[in-house]
Amino acid sequence: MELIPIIQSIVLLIASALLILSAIGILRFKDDLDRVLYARIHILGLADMACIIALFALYNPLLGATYFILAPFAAHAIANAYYYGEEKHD
Amino acid sequence: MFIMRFVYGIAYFVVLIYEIVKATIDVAIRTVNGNVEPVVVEIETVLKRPISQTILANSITLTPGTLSIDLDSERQVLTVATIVHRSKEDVIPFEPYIRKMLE
Repeated sequence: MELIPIIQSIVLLIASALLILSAIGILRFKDDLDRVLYARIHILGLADMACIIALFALYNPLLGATYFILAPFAAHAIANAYYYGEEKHD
Repeated sequence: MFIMRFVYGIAYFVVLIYEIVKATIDVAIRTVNGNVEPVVVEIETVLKRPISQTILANSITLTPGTLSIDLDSERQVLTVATIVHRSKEDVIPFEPYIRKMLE
C-alpha cells in the first residue's frame, strides 16, 4: 500500500471539485447582479488554485510555481481595464 | 539583523498559504449558497517601497475573494474589490510580515 498515489489522488479529486464549483459559479451569477465581473474573477480564482495544486500533484513544481507567480497578473489586468474602461458603471 | 528577514519571509509564505486555503474554502461555500455582493474599497497601506507594495498587491490578488484593481504608489493607496464587505485586517493580514521582510 503506497502512500504517495493516495495523496496524489486526493489532491486531484479536490482540484476537480474546485473546477466544477468554479464552472457552476460562472454560469450561476447573471448580469443583474451589481459589479458581476468582479464576482466572476473571484470565482475564477478557485480554478487558479485548482490548477496550482494539480500541477504540484503531477510532479511539475516549477510550472506550478510559475503559475503561482503569474496568475494574479491576468486577473489584475482584466479588473483594471474594466475599472478604467469606457463602459458606464459605478 | 539581516537573517531575521529570511525568517519573516518564511513566516509570510506560511501565512499566505494559510490565508489562501481559508479564502478558497470561503469562496467555494459562497459559490454554492449564492451569498455574493462585490464591493470596491480603498485601502491605505503603510508600505513605502514599490517592491513591497507590488508584492502586497500580488498577494491580495492571489487570495480568492479579494482582487487588487489599482495601486497608487505615491499616496500608498490600494483599490481593492472584495466579494463581500470586509474589514481592512481581513483583506491584508500579511502586511506586517512584508513590512518586516522588506522595509
